[in-house]
Amino acid sequence: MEIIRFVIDFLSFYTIYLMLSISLNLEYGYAGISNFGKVLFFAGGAFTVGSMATRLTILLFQGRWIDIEEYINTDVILGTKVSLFFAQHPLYGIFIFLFLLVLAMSISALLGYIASYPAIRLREDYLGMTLVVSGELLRNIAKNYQPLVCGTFGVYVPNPFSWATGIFRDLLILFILLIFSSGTWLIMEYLLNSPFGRLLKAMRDNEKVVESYGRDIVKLRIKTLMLGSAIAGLAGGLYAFYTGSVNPDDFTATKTFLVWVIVIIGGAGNNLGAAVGALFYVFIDRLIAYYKHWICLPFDINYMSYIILSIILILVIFYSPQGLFPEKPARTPVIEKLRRGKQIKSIKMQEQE
Amino acid sequence: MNENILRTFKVTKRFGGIIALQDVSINVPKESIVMLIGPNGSGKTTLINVISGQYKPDSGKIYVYDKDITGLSPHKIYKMGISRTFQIPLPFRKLTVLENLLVVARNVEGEKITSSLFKRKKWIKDEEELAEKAMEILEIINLDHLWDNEAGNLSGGQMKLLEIGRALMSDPEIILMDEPVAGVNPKLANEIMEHVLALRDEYSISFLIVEHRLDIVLKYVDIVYAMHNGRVIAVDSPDKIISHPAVAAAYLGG
Repeated sequence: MEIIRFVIDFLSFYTIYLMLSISLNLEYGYAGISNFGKVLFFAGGAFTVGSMATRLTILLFQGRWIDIEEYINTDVILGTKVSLFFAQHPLYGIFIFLFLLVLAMSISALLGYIASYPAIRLREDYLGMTLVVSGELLRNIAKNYQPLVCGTFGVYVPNPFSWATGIFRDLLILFILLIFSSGTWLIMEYLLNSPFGRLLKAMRDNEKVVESYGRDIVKLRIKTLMLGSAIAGLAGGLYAFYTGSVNPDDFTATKTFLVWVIVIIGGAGNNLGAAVGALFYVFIDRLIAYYKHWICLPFDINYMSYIILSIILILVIFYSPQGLFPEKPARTPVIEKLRRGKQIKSIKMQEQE
Repeated sequence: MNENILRTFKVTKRFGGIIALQDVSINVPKESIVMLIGPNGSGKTTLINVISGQYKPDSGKIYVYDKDITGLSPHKIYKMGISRTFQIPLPFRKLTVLENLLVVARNVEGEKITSSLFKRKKWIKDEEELAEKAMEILEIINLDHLWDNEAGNLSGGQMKLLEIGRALMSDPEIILMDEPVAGVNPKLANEIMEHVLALRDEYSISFLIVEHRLDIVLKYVDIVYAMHNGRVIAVDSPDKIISHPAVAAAYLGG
């Protein structure tokens, strides 16, 4: 039984980190934007869900607005009641679930626009700094401004699938997470193996040239960042629903750099790399979380996954600096066709010789 | 006389206290090859950068035909039909040679997020045509056998050719070339200039070329502007420009 729980938990976390690493890969691996504020957009999605799930449900279906005092003091009670409500009305639960995910994506995309606005025209390092700061800013606001997600204690997130019971519920949620993450994966594969993906790589390699060939790089960067942020927001929203609570201190800058390490280990500019990198991290992290009582160490076991991850990072940088799965040219149908055609030609030429 | 495709009028550009360009007025007639010469630091590349929008001039005007393009950003100037090549080749290193061309084409369908997802059929069809055109250009510049190689692995001379190929791919009316043959062996350099001539004759493209290698380039061009310390000091046909005393003095440091 414990093994099944482990697998479910592992896969659920994996889907969320997969989405985060794909979105960073889009921004950094393809477009060359140093997004050091990934956690900002992840948190944006999680806070959207955390702050609204309970209150919105009560407002919509019971017509009552919870005042801030009541929300802060009794969010767990209110949230549990909403969970019970969802157990009786599954469709309402699914509606709230989907609605809040869309909202989480929109708010994160908007945050992407706002956070990048002052620095998007500047060189990438300034943008990186602005984004690091913005991420910490949001976390501190959430921590100290209780009406958002109840401050330091965090907020309880009702379970929209509480009508399902036991292991079935976990499997259902996992199934939904898998749909969202594989959907994201597919869309990104289509999107990046197209003229759009090619243009992003060109901008990364030399933005001055791209600009003198008529492309508005500021616009392109903003679009990319908004898309990446929307994906991170979706991941954040799903994370909030999956864990059932949102706590501001869960969203430190460490999360950002974890995703960076994942992308660099896997291979920037290749989504397969991002997927494998995420697999490494989540597997190590979950394994330690589940079996930590079996291990005895002279330091806090929670740091173990960072240690292992950084050793992998060092090894990868030594032996395969472009990551485990280095970047490949965009595979559009036309290029594939040309490649096959040319190969046939060259084989024929060899035969003739 | 042909109508002027590109005209600068008293363009001045300062960098702090240094005057890089002072009242530079040049004309590029349609379907002609105009050359800019001058010693290092005379402002040739700055002029190219000002025309293509990388720098904004402090004063003066730039016209394409009769349209004022002064101070527009590079991506808008490109839309007027101006393409440029760079002094140091700047290929998209991780893209293949073919992709380097595909990415700069005009009006690429599928370049936006929505069109790349929802107009897939359309952009695949478009890309087929673009790829065909790109292959033709690669044949012209003798890079077709390297079409699937990463541009970062090309030799210096091949990168120069790729720069030109990229400029051609964008269907320009005029190409600004910043030292297209510098650092290229004489045989290849002559080939490049032959291509330039052919392109002018076949596709009616005009050229503004900055180059030091007078021995190779002069015989291919129609008009030569000589610059020194940010000013135009002489304009003449290629066979007469060298005999201008000011030009000789500028080059020999008289």
